[in-house]
Amino acid sequence: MAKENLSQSEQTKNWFGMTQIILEDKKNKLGVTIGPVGVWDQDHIDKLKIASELAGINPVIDCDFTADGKPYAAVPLLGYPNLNKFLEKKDLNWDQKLHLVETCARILEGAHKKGLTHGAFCPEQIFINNKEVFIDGIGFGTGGTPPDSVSKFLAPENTSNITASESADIFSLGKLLEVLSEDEEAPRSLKRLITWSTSENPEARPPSALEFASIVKESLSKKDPYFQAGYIAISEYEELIKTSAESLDKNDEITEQDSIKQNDISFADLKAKQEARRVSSTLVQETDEDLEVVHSNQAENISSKFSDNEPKRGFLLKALGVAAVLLAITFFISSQLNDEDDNNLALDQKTSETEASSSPSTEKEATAKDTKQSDDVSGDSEEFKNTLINSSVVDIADAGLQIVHGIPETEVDVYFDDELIIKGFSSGDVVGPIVNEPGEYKIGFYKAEENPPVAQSDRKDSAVLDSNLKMVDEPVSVIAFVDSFGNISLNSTSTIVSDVAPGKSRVMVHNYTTENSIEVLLNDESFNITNGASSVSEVAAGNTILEIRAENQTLSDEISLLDGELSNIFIYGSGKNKSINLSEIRLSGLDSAPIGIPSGDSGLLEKSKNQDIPAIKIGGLLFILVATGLVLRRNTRVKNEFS
Amino acid sequence: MSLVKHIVRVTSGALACICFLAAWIPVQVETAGPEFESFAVRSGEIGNSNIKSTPKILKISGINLNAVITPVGVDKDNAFDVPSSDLVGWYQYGSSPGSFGSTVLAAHVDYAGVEGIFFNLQKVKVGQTITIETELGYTEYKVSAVKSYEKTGLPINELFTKSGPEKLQLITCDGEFDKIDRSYKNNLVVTAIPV
Repeated sequence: MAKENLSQSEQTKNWFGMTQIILEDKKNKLGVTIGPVGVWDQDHIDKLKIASELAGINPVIDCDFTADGKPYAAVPLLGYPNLNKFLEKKDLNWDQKLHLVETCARILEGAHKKGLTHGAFCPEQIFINNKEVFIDGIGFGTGGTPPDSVSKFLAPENTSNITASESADIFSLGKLLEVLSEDEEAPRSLKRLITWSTSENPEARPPSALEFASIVKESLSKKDPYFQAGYIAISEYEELIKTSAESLDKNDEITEQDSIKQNDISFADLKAKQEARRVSSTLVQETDEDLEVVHSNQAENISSKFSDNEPKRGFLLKALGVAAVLLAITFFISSQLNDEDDNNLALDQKTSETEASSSPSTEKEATAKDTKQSDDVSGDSEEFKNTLINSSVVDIADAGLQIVHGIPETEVDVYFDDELIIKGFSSGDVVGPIVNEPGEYKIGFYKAEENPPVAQSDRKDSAVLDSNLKMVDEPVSVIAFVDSFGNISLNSTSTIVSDVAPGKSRVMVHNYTTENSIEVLLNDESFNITNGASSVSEVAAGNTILEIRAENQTLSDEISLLDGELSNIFIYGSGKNKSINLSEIRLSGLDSAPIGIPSGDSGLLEKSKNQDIPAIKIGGLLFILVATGLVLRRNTRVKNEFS
Repeated sequence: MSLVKHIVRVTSGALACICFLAAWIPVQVETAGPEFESFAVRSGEIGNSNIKSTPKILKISGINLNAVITPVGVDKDNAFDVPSSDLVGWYQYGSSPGSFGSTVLAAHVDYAGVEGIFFNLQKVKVGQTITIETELGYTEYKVSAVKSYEKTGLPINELFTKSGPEKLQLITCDGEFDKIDRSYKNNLVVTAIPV
């Protein structure tokens, strides 16, 4: 890219005690936040990487450590107005405000479920593009002193020094709702929610952002969402990263002054690190059992976003693209022709050598870049958006047909009755209800593509899974999984929908692993589930400890269930490969009321009432006698006066 | 700059533009198609469905009642586990103040030969104020109904509903006392709505 197309500046933000460098081309801006050493650890960096895949979060395009140990993260600098602009212009009506705060709560819930917190959530961090909402700065809120405009939204426990926590984010949500309610007649339930959320005691706040969102949603007059969690195509910034790297490498003048270089970062390095992470992810699996699923998922996500899963273009298209690049280079070179032509040609030669030596990748990466370059063009036509909602509870009356993706490390496009219903369905995710009507349906899984056709019949590649299923008049969950023979299969699981006893919940565990048997520990109860079989247990509402033991691998989790909820736990994967994982579908509405309220055993109330009756009678008689006496006396007086 | 260089520049620039456009058009054709909506995908991670605000103190000034509330569930027979002392029981598996549905509190009218904390609940009148203190503050309710139901006809699912408008239900025993069964035949239900 020509030098004039790329500019960069540096500014320091004291807010987080970190330095931010801005890079921009004609189309996009990218902010790289750097250091200081120790402010983020590797675990935090790992979590930030996950943020790039969550809807509504300004994606972290890359993050890692510099050679001298400073953490950095690159995020798009959004050009959309933040919420303060809308509030200044009073552009939002009451319902839109509520939709907005509900959307923000759901976005934060998604982040919290991935172990990320904001720490400094406020209107400045909320960006709105038409009806899409983005939250910036998730995962950045560690350390530093916030500006005054932010302080009022911060929980009391972190106003002086930002320490991110879920409860602090919920406090900020409460403050946001309070600000949005200032000129409105907020219903009592929301006033109560504000009080609840902004409690000084973090323990006394709502237990989750999802709970907050649910309460707000109940106050909406229009249930159709006005806002939705936004999505940013990272591919649009790929070009900026790439051209930045090339420009930095090519241009000595920029390189010498460039503070990125001073911090030992170049975007060529970032690209190389991403590639290295992808390759090394399998090694991580072997060395760190706890993180293996996270890392493999990250690797899959990073690779899918940056190179491997991009659609292949036709030869003609590639040829045209290459011709265009060559001609553009010719155009550039010819425009620079002057009396010093020879010197410039020597510089170009040197630049080429530098590129070749500095880049750790070979032809393979070059091919990937070429592919990516053509894909960036198609990236502009991105229309499809998945909404990622974590831990949603479905009422049993609406449960219908649910689908669980239990094929490890495989992202797929899902077709239902020949139509595309999900693009990029990741392992472990669930979806549903798809339908509620009994009938026979067809389901197809295909390896995820960038732009999958809407009709299954237009797919040219072979299906990962193509199967028919029958739904009778009861909720059913189907899981796609790898069976013990290594084949990808689809299996239906009926849900036991009878009411549970009052104060109880139901836990069903289904073994779809490749193991012959897995051991399940549910609180203090231990039992084995053979391959393809299920268990059903009723547990007291509240917290239940679940542990799954298979060959070479143990999973454990805590399930917090309300009375009448059903937790459908699907176990899949292989113990030998340490790929066993679980997914939950949670249903509600199986609760029942106590059979009675025995609240008296002595008959004192009846005695009291019986004792009261004579007293009332005597009182009444006395009243009548006195009244009669008074009347008679009055009559006597009147007679005496007339006589 | 020579004329040849000018021609080279103009020609190559024009060709570059044409090639870029040519490369662009097929992509647009390829991606155009019917629009479709994705189903909402959610993470399969185990969720967390806890918890709610806990009522602590019940006050009914009209009958000089000031009682401590304790969370309870059901007994071995799946009946409301009404606390046996001078406490008021809150059905912890139901709703709580500030949420949808009915917050249900129950206490004894009498127990083991002594008057229970709800002995005078029958004296509560429509329109009187009831206050519930939680860890977050207090909520005021206004009594909307006082009704005695035969236990066999008690609308129990309605009383314990978790959906619909917020309500407070205070329940104790009432009516004729069966000396053989040692139980009352009715339940008194005081319903109150938030102020």
